[in-house]
Amino acid sequence: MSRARNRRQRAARKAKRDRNDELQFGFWFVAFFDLLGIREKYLETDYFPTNDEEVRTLRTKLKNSVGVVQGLRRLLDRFEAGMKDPSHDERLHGLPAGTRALVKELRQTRAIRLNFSDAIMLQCPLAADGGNFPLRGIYDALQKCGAMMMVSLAAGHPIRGGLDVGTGILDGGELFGAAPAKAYLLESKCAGYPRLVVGDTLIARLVDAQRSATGGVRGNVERQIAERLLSLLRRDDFDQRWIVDYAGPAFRKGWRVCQDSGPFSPARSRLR
Amino acid sequence: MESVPGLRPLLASALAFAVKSRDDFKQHPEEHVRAKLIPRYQALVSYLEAAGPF
Repeated sequence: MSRARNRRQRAARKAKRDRNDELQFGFWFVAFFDLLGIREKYLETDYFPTNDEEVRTLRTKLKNSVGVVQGLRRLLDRFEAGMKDPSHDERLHGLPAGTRALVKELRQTRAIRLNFSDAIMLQCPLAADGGNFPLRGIYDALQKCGAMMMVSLAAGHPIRGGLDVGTGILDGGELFGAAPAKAYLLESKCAGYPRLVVGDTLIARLVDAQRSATGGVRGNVERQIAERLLSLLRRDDFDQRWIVDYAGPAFRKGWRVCQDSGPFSPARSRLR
Repeated sequence: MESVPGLRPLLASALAFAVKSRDDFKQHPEEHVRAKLIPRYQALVSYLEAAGPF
């Protein structure tokens, strides 16, 4: 009897160890942004219509709240699809097989996107293991944030966000810990108006990646991406905080190649 | 500043929104809201203006 109980206890301890092995604790990049003013608009829909006029009014209010959230998500879906377009691989034709394989490896990320209500969180682990090139994950997220800021402002539904690096633990596909908390705090306590504020830890990480990249092709690529990422950021004249420079020259140069795709073509048709 | 044709209307529209928001806050009845938000939206206007000309 006692032996059976011991076996059960050993099995339970092993199951717990196995579960802990699946938890991924480490450094994560997180970008958090949300649409300003949507919560107030949600609250305006907090009634059940009792006549045709109220139904019409409610429909308009839902369009201006739920519809705006869904519109932003669709734009981001479209932008992400554009980034994954297989036509990008055409530029690799003619390169040596080894270089092609390296480029493909350096494009891989294990990024996670989380939508909830009027907010979106983009997360990527900073562990450089198989199938994840961290700087690429940060680069993709920055491009997405910049594009969403531009189109949301142009459409009159601005976003506000925070981006930083911190520790976190992934459990059951959900990220817990300092990284999402830091990004949220930057958005809710520091940003103050439509902009994307960047935390000091992310800046330090990028500067470190730029300076300490090793030699060889991979090291050169890492250094170049870190330099490119830093060129997408700037100090805000308002309070000297680091922000995403979505209207700056580096972003505009990058978007030149996708001006007829991505989020911009549908966004242009919705300009106020 | 180099010109990207596809972005120009987006930037112009973003600037128009920022200017309108700032001016709307100038009409806000509460002083503490005006004091807090007008400088911030002015910063946004200045940032987008610097990305011009459109």
